[in-house]
Amino acid sequence: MTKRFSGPLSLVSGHLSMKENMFKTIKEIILGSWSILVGMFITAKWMITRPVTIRYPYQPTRPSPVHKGRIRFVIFPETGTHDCIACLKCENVCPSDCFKIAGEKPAAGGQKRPTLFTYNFSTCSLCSLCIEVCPTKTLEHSPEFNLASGDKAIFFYDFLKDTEERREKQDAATLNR
Amino acid sequence: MAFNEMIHEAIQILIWAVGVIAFVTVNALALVYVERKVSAHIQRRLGPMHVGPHGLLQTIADAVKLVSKEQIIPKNVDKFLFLIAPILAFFPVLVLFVVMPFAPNLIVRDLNIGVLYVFSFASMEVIAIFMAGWSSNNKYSLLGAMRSVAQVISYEVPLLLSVLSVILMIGSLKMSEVVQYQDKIWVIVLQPIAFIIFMLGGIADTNRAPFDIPEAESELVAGFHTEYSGMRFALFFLAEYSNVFLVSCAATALFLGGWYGPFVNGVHWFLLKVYALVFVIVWIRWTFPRLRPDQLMNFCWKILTPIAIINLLITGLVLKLV
Amino acid sequence: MSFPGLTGESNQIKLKELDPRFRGDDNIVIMNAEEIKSELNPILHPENVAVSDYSKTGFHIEATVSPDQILPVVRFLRKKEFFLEQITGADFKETFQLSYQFNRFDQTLRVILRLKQPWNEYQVPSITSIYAGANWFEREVFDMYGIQIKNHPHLKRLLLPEFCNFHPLRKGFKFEGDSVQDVNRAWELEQEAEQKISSTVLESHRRDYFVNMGPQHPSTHGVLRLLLHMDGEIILEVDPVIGYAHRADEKMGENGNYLQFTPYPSRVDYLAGMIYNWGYVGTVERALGIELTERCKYIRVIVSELQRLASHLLWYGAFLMDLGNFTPFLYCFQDREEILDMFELCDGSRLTYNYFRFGGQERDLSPEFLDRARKFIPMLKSHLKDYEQLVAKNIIFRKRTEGVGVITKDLAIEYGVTGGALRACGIPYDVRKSEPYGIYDQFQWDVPTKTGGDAYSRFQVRVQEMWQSLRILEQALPKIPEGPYNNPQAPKRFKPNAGEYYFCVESPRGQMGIYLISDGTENPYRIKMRTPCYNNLEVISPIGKGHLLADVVCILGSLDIVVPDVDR
Repeated sequence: MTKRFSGPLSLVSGHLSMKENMFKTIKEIILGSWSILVGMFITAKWMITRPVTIRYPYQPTRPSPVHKGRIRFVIFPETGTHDCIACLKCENVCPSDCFKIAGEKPAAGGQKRPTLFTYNFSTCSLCSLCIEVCPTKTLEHSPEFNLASGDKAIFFYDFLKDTEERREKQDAATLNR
Repeated sequence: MAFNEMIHEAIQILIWAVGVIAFVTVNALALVYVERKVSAHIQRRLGPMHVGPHGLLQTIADAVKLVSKEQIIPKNVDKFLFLIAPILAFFPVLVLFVVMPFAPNLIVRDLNIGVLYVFSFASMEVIAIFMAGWSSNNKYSLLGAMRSVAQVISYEVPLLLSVLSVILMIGSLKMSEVVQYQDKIWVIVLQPIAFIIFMLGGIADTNRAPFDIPEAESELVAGFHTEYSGMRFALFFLAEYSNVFLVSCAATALFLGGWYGPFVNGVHWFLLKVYALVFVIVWIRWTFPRLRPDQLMNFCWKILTPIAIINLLITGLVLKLV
Repeated sequence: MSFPGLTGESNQIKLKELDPRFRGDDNIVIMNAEEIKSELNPILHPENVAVSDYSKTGFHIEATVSPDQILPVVRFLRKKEFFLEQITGADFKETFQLSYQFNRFDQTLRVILRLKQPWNEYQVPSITSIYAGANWFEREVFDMYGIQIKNHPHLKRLLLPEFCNFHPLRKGFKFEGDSVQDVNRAWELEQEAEQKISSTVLESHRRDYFVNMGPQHPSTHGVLRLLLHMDGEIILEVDPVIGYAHRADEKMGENGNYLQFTPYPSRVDYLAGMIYNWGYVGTVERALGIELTERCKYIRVIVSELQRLASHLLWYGAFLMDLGNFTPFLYCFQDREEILDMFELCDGSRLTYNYFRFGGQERDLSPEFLDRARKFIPMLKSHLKDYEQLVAKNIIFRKRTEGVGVITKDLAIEYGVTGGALRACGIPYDVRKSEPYGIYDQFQWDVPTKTGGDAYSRFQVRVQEMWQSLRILEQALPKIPEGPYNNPQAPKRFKPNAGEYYFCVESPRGQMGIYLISDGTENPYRIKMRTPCYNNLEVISPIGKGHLLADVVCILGSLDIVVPDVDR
């Protein structure tokens, strides 16, 4: 039995005499009981301190100002809309192929603008590379943090539509003030 | 007339039986809540708060959920044993409350052999656990059941030896007399070591931490009740908590003076002491890691049993000399 | 400044207990690269061995070997007590290359042996007879490339399922499988294997049995399967089956450019995200020769040490939860919440970071972050003292962990164990001291070392590491210099020169390194992550024998395994 079982049982102090063994055991019992009592006092001390739970839906909690939520267009206050020029830099740098962008120059002239800009949040790893390479700084992280849904289709955002909706909500909010 | 008396007696027994069952079940539910709240505060969190004010109705919600669950019986189980095991786990607990001395007039049946009765039925849960583990047709459950059987049987020895030293001192097995002996001084003052051994043995008997190897969640998923779900699992659960309550009741009656207390004696002191012990048991559970099976056995046979025997010898010696 | 040790002793281990070669004393130079090169001359042709520039490539000696020279060279290295870092495969279209990397514990002397063979002549001898830890590396090379290894004890696939008939890391690979068919085939193979086992058991009336601590288990820290061969309660053999969390990170690295791979190392070991980030970014910086500003180095060190604290706090809680004590788990998690809130201030995410860039950071540290960090240090110190009373001195905990899972020095060398598990064997090897990066060499701190080699020693070492991290933080926080956090001269396009580079950092679990083969284009040719948990998990096979089932859980917890780190 001892040959096969090389684990801690073989550390049973077979090399000590019976008297030494007995003293060792008694010392262990006394020190052990003391450590048990000390442990219980520590837990008792924590038992009477204030719990640290924040009861989330009933008590407010806010993420930090640089929190990385899903990607969205910046609504610039001067123009009231985004400034994307469909350069496809974000689509090229994304490690997870989250973007599908198509753009064209408007017939009237001016900057190239996107006609299709979709973003798949379900594959995004929130690495912020797209935000950094954007030459017009038109992408940002949204501060939303409680995005949960049972339907995957909701996470395929159409930025052009999304920007319109947000702009209308902003206008409505300023009007109501 | 004898027939009348029999009916009288039968109705009395029925009322007591219903009372005991109701008491035990409600107590078990309350204990679950107490454990959740105490463990939460030990861990710096709040525990159940949502269902009812401060989560008081949480256990009822859990019971409703468990009752409404699908009855899953795995394919290759030993059907008869599988179905009987939870009932057999819960049944002895109910039976044991018949002799518990809650108050001088609140003992259902003050049997002459009260103490013997309590500890003989306590061994029946071993059979239930083994049935559960064996019939589940699952290596994990079997391992858990075997460990549990070894543990419970071993820890009964120091438990009974410590009770024996108390009974040696008191001289009677009747529960009410055991409590009446303590009107001047509690047994714990005379036999502190026996109390500690009794508590440790009691915690081990009910498979609670730090002796909860049979239900070691992080090793064997859930031990012998892995395959049970729904009301059957609830029965095991309730059986465990009722066992804890039972061990505390026995400890109070034997060591802590039962219904005696300052000012007015009565059932309130008994319940207070019982709940204090339950609190200590819950506190111990959430403070320590669990022992390994061989260390458990080591502790029982090489440390607790010799101390219990020495205690018994000393008690006998002192009684002879005094 | 002395910190309270667990039994009142100072953190510096008594030097005479250690093997004098492992003292970590910078003045003792055991050997240098030229010496090794000259000793290799009789075995290899002197033209094939070169001393290379460490600061540019990360290697000290580079050697080209042929298959019949491999075994003598490896035997020589084993005699000189080099430990096996990793074995990497690479596909160069007509030829394949196997790189064997060795290093020393007492000083950094990285030797890389390159074996290049044409594809139709691939018979590479196995070095498992000399280094037992090469077992998994060679299985993975076979799995990913299809290179046949001669004399391997059991050459079967490691990360991919057994029924796969493709080798994914080859350059011309395209996946054309059908997932439903594969699942059915997997089930058939499982049933065959089971029948084989059960028939042998019934035949010989053996009383031993197999238990799966299966992929779904509360305490295997991820999807890890341990196949346990048991007799009663005693373990006869532990066989870890990995690959359930394999996500083909290395292939993804080849498919994009250098910037696109940046988020991935953090996801490999999510508990040490910032440190793995530094590992990858540091490799490319070494390959491109980008310098860091002082402020950037300070920021990186502060953030790395906070990450190390967070990782060790989680390990502490999880280890104790495995042993049955649920309370410290929640205490440690609350402390960790503070750190994660701080990281949210500096990076924006709480767990999956992407903070480092080539040459600097994504953004600067805010004053609020520094403020919170300063307040956090004394709070954690008082909590650690409490946990020590509650846990470390507890008789039950000590009985559970003392003497369990002893790793000897020989095992550590053969398997390449690094990190806390190694420092518990008495070898004070820490990458931050051996190959200093950042400004670690400017602070006063010790490498905690214990000599027991068992789970209790590993526990003590990691707790002491937490104290040392706090010490580094206390020195770094007041001294942060002003200045740019980004190097303004860092290039915008990343095209390292063709060559092979290696850079390693000390993650909470051990030495983490990135081995990069660049062909001069914007996409990496081959990225191999040397993850510490891979080597640390492999060592569970020899040390788990003879223990009880409850001890396997304890060993696994004390080795601090994060399974995606093993599988990448």
